[in-house]
Amino acid sequence: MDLLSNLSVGLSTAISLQNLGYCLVGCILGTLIGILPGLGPAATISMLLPVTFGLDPTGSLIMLAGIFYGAQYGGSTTAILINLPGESSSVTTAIDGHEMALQGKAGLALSTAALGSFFAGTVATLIIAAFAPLLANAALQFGAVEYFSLMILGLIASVALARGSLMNALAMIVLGVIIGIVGSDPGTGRLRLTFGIPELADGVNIVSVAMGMFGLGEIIYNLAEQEKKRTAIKAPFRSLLPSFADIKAMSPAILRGTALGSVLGILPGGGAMLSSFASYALEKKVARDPARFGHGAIEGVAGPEAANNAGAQTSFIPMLTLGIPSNVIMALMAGAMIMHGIQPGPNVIHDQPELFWGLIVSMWIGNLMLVILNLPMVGIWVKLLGVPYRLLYPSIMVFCCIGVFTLNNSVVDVYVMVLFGLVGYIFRLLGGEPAPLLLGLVLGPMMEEYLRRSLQLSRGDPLVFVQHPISAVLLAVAAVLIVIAVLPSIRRKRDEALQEA
Amino acid sequence: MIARYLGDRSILLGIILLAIAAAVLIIASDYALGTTRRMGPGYFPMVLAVLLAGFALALIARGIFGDHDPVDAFAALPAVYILGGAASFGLLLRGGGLLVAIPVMVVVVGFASRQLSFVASLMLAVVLAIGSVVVFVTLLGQPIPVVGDWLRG
Repeated sequence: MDLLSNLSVGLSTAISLQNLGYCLVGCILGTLIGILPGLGPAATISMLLPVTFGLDPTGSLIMLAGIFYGAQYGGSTTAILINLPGESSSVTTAIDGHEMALQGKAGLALSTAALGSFFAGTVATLIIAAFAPLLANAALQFGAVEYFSLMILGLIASVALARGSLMNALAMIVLGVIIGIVGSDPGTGRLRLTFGIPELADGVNIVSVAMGMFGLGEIIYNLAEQEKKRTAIKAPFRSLLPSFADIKAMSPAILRGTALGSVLGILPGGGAMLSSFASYALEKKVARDPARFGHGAIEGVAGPEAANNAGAQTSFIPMLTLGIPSNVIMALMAGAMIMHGIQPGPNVIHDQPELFWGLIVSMWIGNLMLVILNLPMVGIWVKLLGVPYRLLYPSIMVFCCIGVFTLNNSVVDVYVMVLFGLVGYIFRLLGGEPAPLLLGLVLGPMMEEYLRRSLQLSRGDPLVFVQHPISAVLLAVAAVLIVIAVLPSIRRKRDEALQEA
Repeated sequence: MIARYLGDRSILLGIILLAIAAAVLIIASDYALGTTRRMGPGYFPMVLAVLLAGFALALIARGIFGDHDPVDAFAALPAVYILGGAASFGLLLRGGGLLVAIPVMVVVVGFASRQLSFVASLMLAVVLAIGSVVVFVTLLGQPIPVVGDWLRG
């Protein structure tokens, strides 16, 4: 069967000593930053993009992916042991997970999280393997018109499901697109919005922007708050093994979480965080005794953990098959691919099968590594939490500055990073989220190209976007999403669901 | 009254975005617009600027007519030190090299934390400077100046 032969291609690629090594490094780094508060996968991935430039593309993507889903594992560890979620997707885990820890069941909570995540990761890998080629083949039928509408849908979907004001996010997207077109116009070569700075002729570097907004912005934000000291609960090794009764209790939640996460992850705008929140709400709804939640219900850990891992992995699908990043991390991965000269899109599966399938299989291998890293070795990670933030952030800044410089050996990129650090912080204070801006930045140039081609094909008729049936459907869905996001009653329910945790 | 308006998040955001949109509009009007059928370099930027202006005005309207949404305090001090430190790195890298740029940056950035003593930041500065030279230049072979133009005589 095609699926098996694809997976075997992937396996042979992923098992190479080099790629196993990259996977391990990614997973360790991911766990590390997942555990350390104040440093997230977005900032880390953008910091490492310059480093991966010298590596081969498959290895780079494997490592960066490892950082991403590794952070989901690491975040749960701190959420359970210290009630300090390392990642936004671990917020729900902290609710019941920490309660379990306080009741002396820390080991059980940790293993529930790890096993749930592993199961979800396995299933998600299979889903990607089965589903992605179909999606890519369907997308090959797409022309410039369909692509433009798909990008519009992707952008709108990514903000409609997220928290915060829709209008703010849309404005941020438009701003991001504007920044994205800085540089030479692809049609005429005319330099646009470069303000006479020659280094901007190739456009504003996504890594500089990402590091400024996520790296520097995050640091400023953290320093503005106070350093809090928390004590960690110990989890001896023997307590890690769950009993059969425990496994019976957690299994349905894991299954539900996996299903929910897999679906929500594929949707643009979905991903780890949304999946975990949705799963927690679902578990509470279907539980026979909802009062247990908040007091150490094992389903409150199993469901969201499975969901966030499934969501994290399936969120690769839109980017790898359609070339549409559904969240910031995927936008950065797309940036990494572009840096290596690979244009993300439906052709990737056919032109670079070792890259695609190697990445998919290594995701499963990474999950395996992570279970080992997170369970027996949990004690080591907890010790790391002792590193005070005041020593950490200067080190992060050194890494950021050097990393950004090495992209083009240009100090201008450092200044761009500083500018976006300032801009990012100010906007965040005013309610403008950085993620939509970054998405707009990545998709902007492509959108202009598709728009130009579409209008050329239609000889200047803008109605072409509703005349092509697929495009019309895509735009209609986008419109529906806007309506859903704006309707007061649904908005209240959504805010409630997000407030729950 | 004015203070209430200027302290509202949506209004401030709207004003800033409106200014940016106006700037883009002015700059892009210099580029050839072309026609819808054959978009010139100025076409897309103009469309985006108009779109952004629209959102900006909507935000301002929301700020005026909707609930008051006050801005949180601007943590000027950490921002100044962090951003200033990174900027100083950029300024000093070519001239002073890593061995000058990194310590200066770490010390400047160190002021942003109330818990980091000056002595500690100096020690950290030295460690990070040497460490990054070892990791980035020696191990990874990146062409970053270790000692800059000023010091090379």
